[in-house]
Amino acid sequence: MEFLNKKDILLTIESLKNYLGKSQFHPAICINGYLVKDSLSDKAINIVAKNSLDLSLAIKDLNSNFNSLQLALVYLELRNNGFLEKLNIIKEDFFSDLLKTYNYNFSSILLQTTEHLNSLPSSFLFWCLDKKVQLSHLEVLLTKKNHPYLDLIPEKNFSHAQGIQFLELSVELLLMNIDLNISQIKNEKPEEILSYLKKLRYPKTFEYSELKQHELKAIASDFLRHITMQPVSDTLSLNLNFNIKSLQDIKKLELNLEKIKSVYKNDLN
Amino acid sequence: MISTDQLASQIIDKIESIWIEETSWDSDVAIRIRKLSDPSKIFKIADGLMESKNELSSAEYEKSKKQLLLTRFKGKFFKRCPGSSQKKILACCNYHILNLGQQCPMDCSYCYLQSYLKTKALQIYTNIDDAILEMKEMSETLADQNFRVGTGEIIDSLALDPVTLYSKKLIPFFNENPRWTLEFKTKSDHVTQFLDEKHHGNVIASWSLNPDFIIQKEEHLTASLENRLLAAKKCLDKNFQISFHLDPLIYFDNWQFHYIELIKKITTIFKPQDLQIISLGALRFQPEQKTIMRQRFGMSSLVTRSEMLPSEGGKLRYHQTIRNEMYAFVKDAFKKVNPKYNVYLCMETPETWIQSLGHMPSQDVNLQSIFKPIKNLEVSGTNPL
Repeated sequence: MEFLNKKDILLTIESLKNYLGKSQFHPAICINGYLVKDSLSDKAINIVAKNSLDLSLAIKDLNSNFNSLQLALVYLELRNNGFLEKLNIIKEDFFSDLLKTYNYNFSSILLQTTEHLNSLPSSFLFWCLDKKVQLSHLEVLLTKKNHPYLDLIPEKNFSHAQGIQFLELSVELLLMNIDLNISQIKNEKPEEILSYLKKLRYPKTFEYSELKQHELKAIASDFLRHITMQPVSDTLSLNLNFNIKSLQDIKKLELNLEKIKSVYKNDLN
Repeated sequence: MISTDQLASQIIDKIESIWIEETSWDSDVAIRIRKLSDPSKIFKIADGLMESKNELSSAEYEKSKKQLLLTRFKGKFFKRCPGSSQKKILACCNYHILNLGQQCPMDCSYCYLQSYLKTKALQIYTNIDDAILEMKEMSETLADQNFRVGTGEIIDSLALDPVTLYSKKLIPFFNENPRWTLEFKTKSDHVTQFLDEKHHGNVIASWSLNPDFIIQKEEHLTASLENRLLAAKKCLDKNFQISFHLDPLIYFDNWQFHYIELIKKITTIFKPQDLQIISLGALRFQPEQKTIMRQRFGMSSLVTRSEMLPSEGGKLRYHQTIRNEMYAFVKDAFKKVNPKYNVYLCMETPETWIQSLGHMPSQDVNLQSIFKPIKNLEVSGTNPL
């Protein structure tokens, strides 16, 4: 085991956070100030570990902003490199302790999700780290372990919320054996891709929404330019941007709102 | 006809292991279970050994249905229905719940327990005497209130009753408190164990009902529709009150045909005066429940593949137009047979009440007493129903 000079490779706990935030590489594992391994770079560095190293104590020194996904990766790195065995650590207990240190509840679902991280594309994992995705958000992948389109998320630079939505929608559609036609939509923007998938997953809801939009256009097409509307189960979200210069404009607004009322009179109360 | 003990043995035979905590070992229910079951699968354990705060994986959840834990419940037994904590969102019917265990030997695809339970076992609380004592104190403190109490919120009221015989312990309390009402809510057909109990007409046996098609596809290990209705008829013949909960109503192709068939079967056997109430509730669940449902039932289930949308209160529900359509359809189908059937909505918003039934519950003379707010009682319901 090669002993590395702390000065050369030390990533302090603070700088580790920056490293994880900025690096294009898999996160390095840093324990007690020692870089354990940078798995994706060619500069794989052998572990620096003292025989007496108490990992659970060492882990407590890590930055408290670690999220559950990063902790899972720490665990996987140590396990994949055989360090858990070398240090005589029982893997479940170690992961459980690791999570507890940061106030995450250990469960076998989290352990299964962690195991599954090994088979996910690196580009997707980088995206997850970059967007600070929680391990629990990846549980959805347990029902579709061979998800073929995860690369699309980093490729299109989905936001955190968009990525989580994509996972949920795409997994359900794949399980329903519905063709996602990814080749046709992969050049679209993330919001358009999501809109397309939602339409596939919620066809009746979209059909209803389009019908209402059609009815509205027929009676208040000019007014529609000023508003965006989205049905959300019990409510209709309406965003209005309407310039009022005179009382006449207010009357016009009232008139148009009455028209909306007539379209939704049988659906809303 | 099969005896209660034989039925209890059949239920226990399906359990793989029985864990009895030290302080529950000599409870009435533990003694009965020890007598009825194979001793090799009974384990005496320290109190609290099986406590857990972690969510269950699908495999753990499935296994938990075959592990029985006898334990003392340390919290408050008597609680307001969770709907009461969302009064701004839902019309509240002042229901109270008495939890005498957790988990269920049956396995409905939509069951909210899938994301709610943390313990890897089906639990029976052995200290039912404490529960009865708690109710007694309530009856003394709030002597003028008419409480409606249900035991079927986080465990089916009757699925394990041939084993626990808790119905026989509860009914005498309600005999002493005739203004109170006890409801057993079930999807089983286990009623013979209490049929001969003396009662004052304030015990309701109620069934969650769905069309046969839904029962077979989504309500696994439950009694068939025919057997549920047969059990209800037996209770009616012994002067127990009967209620039916068409809950959850599930939307699928040709749903109208299946629900009409269900309503025909109900109304052929039960006249309006036979039924205390018929409640309706559309499918709803917490978003976090989706993962385990997908893992356990895939996307071929009518529940997982439903078009559910976020609604006020955080639950996923059908679009309001669908809910309105289903409620109005089912209500009209009952009223066409006889306008006297007493239909109301469960866990629904005031808006949906008005849209589908045409009024608020407070405007219905048959429902006013149920929905009248109860004063001087704190809200403590926490279950995410």
